[in-house]
Amino acid sequence: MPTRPETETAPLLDVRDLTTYFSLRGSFGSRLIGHEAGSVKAVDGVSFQLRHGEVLGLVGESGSGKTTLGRTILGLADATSGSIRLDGVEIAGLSESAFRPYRRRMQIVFQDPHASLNPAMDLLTAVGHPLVIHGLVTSPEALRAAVGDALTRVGLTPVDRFFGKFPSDLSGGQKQRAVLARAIILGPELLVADEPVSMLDMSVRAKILELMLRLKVELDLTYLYITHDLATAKFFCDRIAIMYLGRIVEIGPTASIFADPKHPYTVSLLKAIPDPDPDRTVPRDLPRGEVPDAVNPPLGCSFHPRCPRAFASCGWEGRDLTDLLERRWTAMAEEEFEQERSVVGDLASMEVASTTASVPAAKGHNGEDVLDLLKRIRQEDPEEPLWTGVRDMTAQGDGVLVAFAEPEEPMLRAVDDVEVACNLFDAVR
Amino acid sequence: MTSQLETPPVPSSVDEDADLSPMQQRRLGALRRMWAPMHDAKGMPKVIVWVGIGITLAFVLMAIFATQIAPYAFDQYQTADGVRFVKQQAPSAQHLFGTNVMSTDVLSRVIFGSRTAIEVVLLSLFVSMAIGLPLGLISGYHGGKLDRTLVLFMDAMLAFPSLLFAIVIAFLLSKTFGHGVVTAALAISIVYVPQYFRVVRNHVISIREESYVEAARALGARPWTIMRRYVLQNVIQNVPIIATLNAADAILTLAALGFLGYGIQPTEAAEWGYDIQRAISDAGAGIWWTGLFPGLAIVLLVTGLTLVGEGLNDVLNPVIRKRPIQEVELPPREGTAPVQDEVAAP
Amino acid sequence: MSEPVLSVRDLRVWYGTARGPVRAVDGVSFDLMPGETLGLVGESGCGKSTLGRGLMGLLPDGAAIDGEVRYEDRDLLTLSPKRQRDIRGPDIAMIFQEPMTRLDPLMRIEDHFSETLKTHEPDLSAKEIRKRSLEALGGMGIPPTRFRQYPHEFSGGMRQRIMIALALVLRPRVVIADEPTTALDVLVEAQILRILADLRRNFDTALLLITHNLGIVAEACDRVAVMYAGKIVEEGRSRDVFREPDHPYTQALLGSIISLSTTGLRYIPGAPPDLSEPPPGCRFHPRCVDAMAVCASQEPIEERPAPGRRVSCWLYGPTYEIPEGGTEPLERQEIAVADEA
Repeated sequence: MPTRPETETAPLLDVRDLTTYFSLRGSFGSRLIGHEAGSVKAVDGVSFQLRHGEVLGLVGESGSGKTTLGRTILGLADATSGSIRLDGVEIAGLSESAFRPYRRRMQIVFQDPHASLNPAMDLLTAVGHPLVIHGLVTSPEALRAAVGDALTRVGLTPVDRFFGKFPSDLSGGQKQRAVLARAIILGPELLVADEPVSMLDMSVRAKILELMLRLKVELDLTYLYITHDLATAKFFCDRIAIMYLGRIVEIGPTASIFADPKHPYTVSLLKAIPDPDPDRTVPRDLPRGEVPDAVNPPLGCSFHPRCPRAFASCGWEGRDLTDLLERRWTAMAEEEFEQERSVVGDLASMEVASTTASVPAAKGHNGEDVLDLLKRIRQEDPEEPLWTGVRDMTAQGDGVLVAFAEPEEPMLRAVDDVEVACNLFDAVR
Repeated sequence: MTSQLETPPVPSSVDEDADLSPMQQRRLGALRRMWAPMHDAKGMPKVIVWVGIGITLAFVLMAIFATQIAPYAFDQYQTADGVRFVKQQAPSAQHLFGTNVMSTDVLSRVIFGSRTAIEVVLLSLFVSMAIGLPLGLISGYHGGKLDRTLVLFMDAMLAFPSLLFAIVIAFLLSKTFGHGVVTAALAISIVYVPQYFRVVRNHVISIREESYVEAARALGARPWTIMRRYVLQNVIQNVPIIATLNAADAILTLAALGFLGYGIQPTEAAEWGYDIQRAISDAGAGIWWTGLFPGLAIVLLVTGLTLVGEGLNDVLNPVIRKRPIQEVELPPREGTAPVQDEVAAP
Repeated sequence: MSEPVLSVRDLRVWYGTARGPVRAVDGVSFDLMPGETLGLVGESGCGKSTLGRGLMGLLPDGAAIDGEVRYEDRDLLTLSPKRQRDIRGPDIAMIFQEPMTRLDPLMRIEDHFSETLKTHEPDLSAKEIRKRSLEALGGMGIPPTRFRQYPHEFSGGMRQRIMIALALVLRPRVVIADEPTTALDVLVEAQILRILADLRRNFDTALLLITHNLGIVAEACDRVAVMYAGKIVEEGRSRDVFREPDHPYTQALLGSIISLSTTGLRYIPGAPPDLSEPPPGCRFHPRCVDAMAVCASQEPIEERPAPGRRVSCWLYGPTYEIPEGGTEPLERQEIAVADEA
């Protein structure tokens, strides 16, 4: 994909420190008291710029916040804090009616083609509705002409046959084309495409992607391409931002990201892509575990519990110790597991995000026993990254107090021609 | 105009109306798809619906052409020359269903009674829907405090015994509107508002999260447009079913009101429930025709409406609709081919 | 050499509809060897899921099935429903796509396992049940400390692993997995694939992996069978098929995949056929760049171009069956733009 030349013109979209938190409804009792039950930090401090005519990919797994980010930019979800500037104008926090005129300039294509079209509207009505909403057509003939033009652009011809079709008459690919027609008919500058091809068959994906590329050239569009599929992102995007748990962990030109991925998460994503090359085998060193809960994200760097290269300042805490114990016990025979389990008490107290954790001893054991167990575990696998973060462990009467190193939250820093948020690339080192 | 390569990817539309103008095609398309399940329905559900429709239609026709069909007026107690009818006369040539204690013709009262019933039910359906649908729509779409309050309110109304409720409302309204069709209709309609509210609200809540509704927001549609074009149009399918079942219930409520004396006054219109109440004392004296025929009319009309409602539910409701199971005949196999002559080592 | 553990011959599954029978699966034959992983791959509408369900006897009402499914000298299709149920579980297990809908939300994981084990191996003691369950779960990476939790307390990936553990705890000889990773993220998918790849090593279980994702087939399967419009068009060792596909559909499909090395977009024109009225002759001929005259009139005869490979395509003969002029290129009609998917 050709990279755009660096120009000094203002970006089309400028996002700074954007957060979108969804508050959770707690139990009835806590709501009564007014106690907030916590919030899902779907987007947790995202900044980037989007230039005219560029295609920026937002790549991440589920829970990364990429869809919420797209929706927030389009005003479909409320930003909690931060700024979104469209051509220099602040649009975050605008009321629905103040935002409405801006909707003509940005549109969205959703993931599920089977659910994005109103089942009660035929194509002429559905694709033409944006024009009616914004009062841009004055006669039925003008409407037909405009819709016919849009349908032709997306390849749904002969248009006369498609005007009267309902969504249930169309295939997945045709529906997605109709959705694209509806999105472009207002003449937007920015198109947010949220997983536009992931629900389509392999052989249809290429058709739709090609259509989107053609539209980009013909209509001078700027794309924000949201996906979990790195392969299509590599083909389609000029720049790529890798997201994890609400933050951008790496962002840069596509070629650089793929040639030399820096963030450990990016590295593992690339390794894990299934490739129909029979000489490749399933990678063995995948990050363990899964995407954590966005309500209580890990301390420091949110990726550290799964990162093969984590070290002292990445944010170790009690929950990591619990995970370690669980992993260990999973691989053990039942008798040994029972034996070790009986030494340690209820681990629930360690589920708090804090740099100190107290590992309780079970009845009949004391802190010394627990300390012995922990030391033995450490000896058996000293390479485990967690131990780099343990400053010291002291036995106290009824348990062990573990003190972890101070966490450092990684910020996006420029490294070569990309930006990475990883403590490995600390400016000091 | 149909091309040979036309293979619809989703086999549900056939291009046979390619000869019609595009506008006609579209209208036909919308109607056809609404009615399509009716064509596919076979067996019991279809029979049920059509029998129900038949019965209901008969009563509606009776109501419309009452003045033409009925031999006498509903409160007529004498012939044109002023000769009074015989009181409580058994069915005879001049009075096919006999006469009642007021010397009025039972048959005529049954026929005019159907007009009253249909009028009241139609009016009350209209009012209930006019109040219940928008409230349900707004409440379901916006949620929040408004929704919680309305739901509380509507649930409280539902908890009330409907007949009692209707009586109270009829009583209160009679001061302003008298004891005619309007009062009865309004009383009944208020009782059924919560039903429409609930059905619509629940459906709206499930639809509101769909992608196409969010897409409408992204397009810049105003909330009212979204509610009307994107939500309501998809919710409305359930309403006819509820309406017919409510209509059946409304007839019963109307008759009960009349029976208890809170309904329509005999001077305003003929009403079956009232007639039955007057016929109670007749029963002891062996006079059966004054109570039987109005009672039969109620039973038949309510049954007809219920059959339509339940039948429509079976046919249209995608959740319980049974796809007709077609039998398939597989032609015999042509012979087994060996799959592999040797096994490849993995 | 060893006998196949599952042997399917001429399997047909037809659904009755108002417009005529839909031939979802129309004459499928294959063998599954013990300890081998066979990938059954195809796009939506090719009949692969119907095939999986048909093998397990899980078809909806109104579907007619015919053919032979031999498991250990028995033809499963001739067994009574009760006997089929007895086999389902301990002998042939199935893993579905949506794990949340397959686990009972009101039962703890512990209860899921004890119910499964007690039903099929009633002589096991409670201690043994617990041991086997924890073993199966441990193999899937589920910690024993979470044995008594409910399904909703687990993430999607973990639920799928629980499903696999449930399927494996009875040590079946055959596992049929229907799109097991489609709903999961790519890293979790890779984890599960690794587990499935280890299956045959550790348990000698045969695995039939049904999916539309060619990438995972290449990585996890020994052999692959490509399905199109209800038939298998090509089969062979995955290494061979991916390196040198024989059938034009396989070639086009592989060419249309977007991978890290993709430089240009290629796709297959047209759309899969309507299975109630499949095209005459070879079902792929309307979309095939190499179609010949005979392809439009006669169904291809299966050929074996190499040991262990089979393909259904007139390009591979047998030439004596092709009539005069049959090898002329087919004059294909332009696929109308309206018929594009």
